[in-house]
Amino acid sequence: MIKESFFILKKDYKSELRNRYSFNSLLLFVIITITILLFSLGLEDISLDIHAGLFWIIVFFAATNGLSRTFVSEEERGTTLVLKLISESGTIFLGKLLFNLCLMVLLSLFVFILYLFFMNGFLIKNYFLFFVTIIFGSIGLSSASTIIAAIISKASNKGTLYPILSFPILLPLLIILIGLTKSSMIGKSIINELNQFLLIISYSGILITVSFLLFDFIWKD
Amino acid sequence: MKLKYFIGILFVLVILLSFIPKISGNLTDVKFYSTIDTTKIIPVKGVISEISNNLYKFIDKDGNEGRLYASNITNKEGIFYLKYNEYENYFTLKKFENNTFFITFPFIPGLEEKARIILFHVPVAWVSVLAFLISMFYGIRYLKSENYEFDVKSVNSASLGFLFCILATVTGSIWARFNWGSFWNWDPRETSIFILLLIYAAYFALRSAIEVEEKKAKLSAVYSIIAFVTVPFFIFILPRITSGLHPGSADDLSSPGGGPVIKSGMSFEMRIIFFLSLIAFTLLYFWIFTLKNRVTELERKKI
Amino acid sequence: MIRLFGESVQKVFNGREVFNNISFDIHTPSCLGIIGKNGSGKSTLIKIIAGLLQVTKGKILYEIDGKILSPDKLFKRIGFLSPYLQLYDEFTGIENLIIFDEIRNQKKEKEFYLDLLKKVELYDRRNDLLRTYSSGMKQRLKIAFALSNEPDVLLFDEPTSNLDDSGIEIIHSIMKQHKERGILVIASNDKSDYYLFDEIINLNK
Repeated sequence: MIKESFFILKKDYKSELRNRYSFNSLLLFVIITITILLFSLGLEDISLDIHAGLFWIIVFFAATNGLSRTFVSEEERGTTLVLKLISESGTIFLGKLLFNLCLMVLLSLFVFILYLFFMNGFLIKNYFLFFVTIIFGSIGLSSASTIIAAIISKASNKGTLYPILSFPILLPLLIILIGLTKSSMIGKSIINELNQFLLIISYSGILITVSFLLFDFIWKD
Repeated sequence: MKLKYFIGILFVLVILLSFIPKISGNLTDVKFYSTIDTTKIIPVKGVISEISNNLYKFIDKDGNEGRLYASNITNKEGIFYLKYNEYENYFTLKKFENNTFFITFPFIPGLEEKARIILFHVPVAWVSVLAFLISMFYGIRYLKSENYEFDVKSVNSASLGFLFCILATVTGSIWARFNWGSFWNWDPRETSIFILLLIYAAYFALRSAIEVEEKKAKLSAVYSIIAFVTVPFFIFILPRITSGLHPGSADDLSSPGGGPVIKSGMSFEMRIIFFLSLIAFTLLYFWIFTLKNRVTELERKKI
Repeated sequence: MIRLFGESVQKVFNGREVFNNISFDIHTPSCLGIIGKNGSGKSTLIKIIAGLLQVTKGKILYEIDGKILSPDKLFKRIGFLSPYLQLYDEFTGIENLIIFDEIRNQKKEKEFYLDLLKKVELYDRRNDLLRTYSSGMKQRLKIAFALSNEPDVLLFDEPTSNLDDSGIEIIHSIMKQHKERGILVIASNDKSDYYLFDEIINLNK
């Protein structure tokens, strides 16, 4: 099953390369959001707490925009039938999860680069902690988002439904991530924060397991 | 038929028992809180016996003794509002109230009279969580059997839970206003009830966005399970929030880490009334839940 | 030897019963035909037989040489064709076929796919994006897809839709050939398909 899910990832990646469905809109979204922030903040200094929060707000809402497309685009184009004919439901879930994970990492890095260039006061003292946070954060965010994306792909009104459903579920994760980001900005060592990462791992692990078990109910008609 | 009346009587009992008992600390409380805030006047239930002119021996409800200076006292028993003079080790009487009821509520600093709201706010919040669990339970049963009746029970429990959750948030918010000055503080416990509200709202939003019955039932069951799985993480995160990110974490000195319900802030009598209230609200939930299920079944049969 | 067996199959969709008490039993070499007016549930029934929809009541079983085939593995042994089946517009004809087999973990040598495309007369257009295909060409690619895993069971919903005369010839010869090795299920309103049927399910009430 795992090998096949990598091929689903490959298919989505190739598709994305040709279509640029998610990629373009995500890029634009991040650029626009940061621009708006820049204008509203002007030259004012904001505290590290707020920087950390803003960073993950941008990532979260950009993710809202992009992550649901994995399932929604299949549903809208009518290609879900083909997927059912070539794979088991678990394979599809894993493949889409992997794709969302890659997308999340790229997205976070992109937000980070833009944020670093344009926002003053965004200084990171412990880069290692910061990047590990991004990796773990992407794992957590994608694990919750994939199953929610699958759920809303079967509903109407998909756009507004996605943030409504995912926010309560992602909130614990976001709080941890914001805390970790702040720690990386003030230069705390990663050793102090090990139990936070443990929390993220258990959060992601439990979500992925439960989603994997429940995915069948969503996928099969 | 009988259940309806029983619940009604129980509620009347709970309301009476919540408002009739008066607040009473003991002499140790008076001594302790006087050192923190010299203007504080604390009610203590007790008995006095005259030693000499305006000087009395005071025995409180817990058996502590002290000297009381007071003038114009007519009753020997009741609620005495006392201040403590630390230098000379005596109490002074500021106000007196008659007390005819054998139960008193303990003095919880910062809450005092408002402590009564614990008897409503907390049970309502617990019932809303219970309702959510029951909704999820029936969701799981639906997934296993595809019997539509289970989905009906799942929604009905969810709507009731939503109602109780709104009540909990509102009563909590009123309490917050009287206690800490503002209606909302993003204190961890406030945040967690708010998250529960959001999960309920998302559940109903999801249901209204799907037309096909089977899909609607399946997807909302799946969502409620996923949402439930993330809730325990709030329990681990809450302690972390209180240690520094957000202002206004309101756990005060007398009941850190659990609040008056879990720790020993409540007296034995108060605890009994609390559990009565909990039972009353739980029964109320089950009664309305059963009624709703019957009504939906009848409506479905008509169609 | 394959056997397809259905017993008292019922499908209720959104409160409405589509069909009830459908039973059938065929084995190699046989063809099951599903006929009925528009909206009678032909597509629904063939999707159920293909494992794409679930029954409300009843059961459907496949037996290969006496052993029951697990529904999770069904997709590896069947080929499905239908007008609403969509393949990926952004890939070329041959890319579609190869990617699907990669995902199915059944990838073969490139020659296999080239031969398959020759069989449905799409060889010349193999490197063109699906977006540029006409509806008849898309139908022919779908036929190639249905055959790409060398299935034991072919399930065709309206097999001749969108096809010109040469396309119809191609698919009829494919269907006849396949019937000898495996089983066919065909849902159709086209009377010229009817000669293939050994057992018929009529969904008209």
